[in-house]
Amino acid sequence: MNPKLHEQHEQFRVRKKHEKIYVFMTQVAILAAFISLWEIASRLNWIDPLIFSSPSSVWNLLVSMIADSSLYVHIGVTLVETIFGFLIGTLGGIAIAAFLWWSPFLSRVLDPYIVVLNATPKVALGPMLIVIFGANMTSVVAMAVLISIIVTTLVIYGAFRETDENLIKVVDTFGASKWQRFRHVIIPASYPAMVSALKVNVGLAWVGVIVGEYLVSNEGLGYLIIYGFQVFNFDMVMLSLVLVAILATIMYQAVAILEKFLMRNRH
Amino acid sequence: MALLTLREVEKHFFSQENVIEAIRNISLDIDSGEFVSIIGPSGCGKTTILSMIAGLIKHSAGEILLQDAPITTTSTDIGYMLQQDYLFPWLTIGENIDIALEITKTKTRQNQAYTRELLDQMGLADREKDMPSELSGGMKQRVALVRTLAAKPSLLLLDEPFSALDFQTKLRLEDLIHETLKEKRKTALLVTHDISEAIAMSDRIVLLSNRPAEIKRTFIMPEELKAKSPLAARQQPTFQDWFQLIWKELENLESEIA
Repeated sequence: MNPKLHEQHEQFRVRKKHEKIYVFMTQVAILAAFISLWEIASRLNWIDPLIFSSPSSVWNLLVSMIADSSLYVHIGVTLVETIFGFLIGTLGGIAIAAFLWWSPFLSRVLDPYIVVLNATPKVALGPMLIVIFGANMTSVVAMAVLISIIVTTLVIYGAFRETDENLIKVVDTFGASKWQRFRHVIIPASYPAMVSALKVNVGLAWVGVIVGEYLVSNEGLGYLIIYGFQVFNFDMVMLSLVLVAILATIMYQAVAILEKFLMRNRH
Repeated sequence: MALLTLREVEKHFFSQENVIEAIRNISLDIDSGEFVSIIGPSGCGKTTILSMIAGLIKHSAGEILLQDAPITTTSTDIGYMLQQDYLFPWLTIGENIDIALEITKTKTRQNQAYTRELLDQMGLADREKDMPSELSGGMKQRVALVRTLAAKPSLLLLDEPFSALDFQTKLRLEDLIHETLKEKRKTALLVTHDISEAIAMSDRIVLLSNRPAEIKRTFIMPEELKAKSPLAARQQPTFQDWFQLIWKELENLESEIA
């Protein structure tokens, strides 16, 4: 390469790198400013410290709850519920979609019911879940499943049906059975839809679990939020909120990495 | 001996309001090793005929016999090549070919070796590990031909397989397919709207009428065109005469609708 071009390329790369650093630094600065402002506002009584708490008291509570290890139980419970809700919702949705694809008759019969279920706010069914599953973790997981499974079914079933007719025709001309058609064409063609359903469902599972814990539970981060609210301990509410935000982000990023891994062979 | 026989075949399609007569009384014999083309005005039901022969849809009346046995469902004896390659984009070239063997449950080492040999004849031996997106349109259609031939069909149905290709690629592929089929003594039925393609490739051309499709005329190609490869046939002095003749017939048909 000629030296002049080389120099320009170098400049281009440095510029890109600097841009990246500036963006990151600004992001950190915003977070730091927010936390400091929160702390100052709380100390100077610009906001009511009893209601809005403050970063230092949230931090102190975090340290003490780690010290008496009560926090781990709550985090653990919520994580387990979310992961189960997420997995059952996603896999269950795919299974139901497969079932509907398998039987066009049933899919036509069930269509209005699925539309109604999809339109109904699933949270409204909370009391029913508690009656059915009892006031325990199962109800919370069921809430997470309920919120994600219907939408997953609809999206995946839609992807199954939108599979290119001609690709199906290719295997049909070789005399493919229904199972072969499903396994060799429908599933791989809908693979991207399934992978993106994972990402949507992580978010939905968190909604379901937190709402579920609001309704019924004596453990978990959602429980801590409601409990803190009831006993007017807003340090606890804030701490739980921050933890939910961090954990949900980590899980979402983990699924995003998984998505990249699963899609590595697709263009 | 006739490999494929159509006897008074008819096809009706049903919709809520009415019954559409698509194919009316088609009788046709295709001998083993013969290359026959079907041409006709667009929408006249050419593809429907192929689909019926392939066993993908049922005919309403008449008989379709392959080696004197009625065709009721799809069979590995009949290969079908579509207008585009329709390779599975998520599989490599090799896997795309293997899928034919997998579905017909004939995935043996021997058959796999046979398909790789075919791939080699198509000049694509080194692309086995590539994804379809890395190949050109002509290459992909050649892979599709290998996939169709993998199940060792005795009859090949070609549904405008060159229509999505640019002109030069199309001419080259015509030659390659013609040569491959003749060498393997395969029987072929080509559907096309391209008169030159039909003349260049076929032993016999069947002209269909407008819907409901009937056989309007049959043209038997002279030896000097039959014996030559498609590209060479296009250079023959008589080629133009045939083109004019068929063009006129087809034009008469098209003016019937207008």
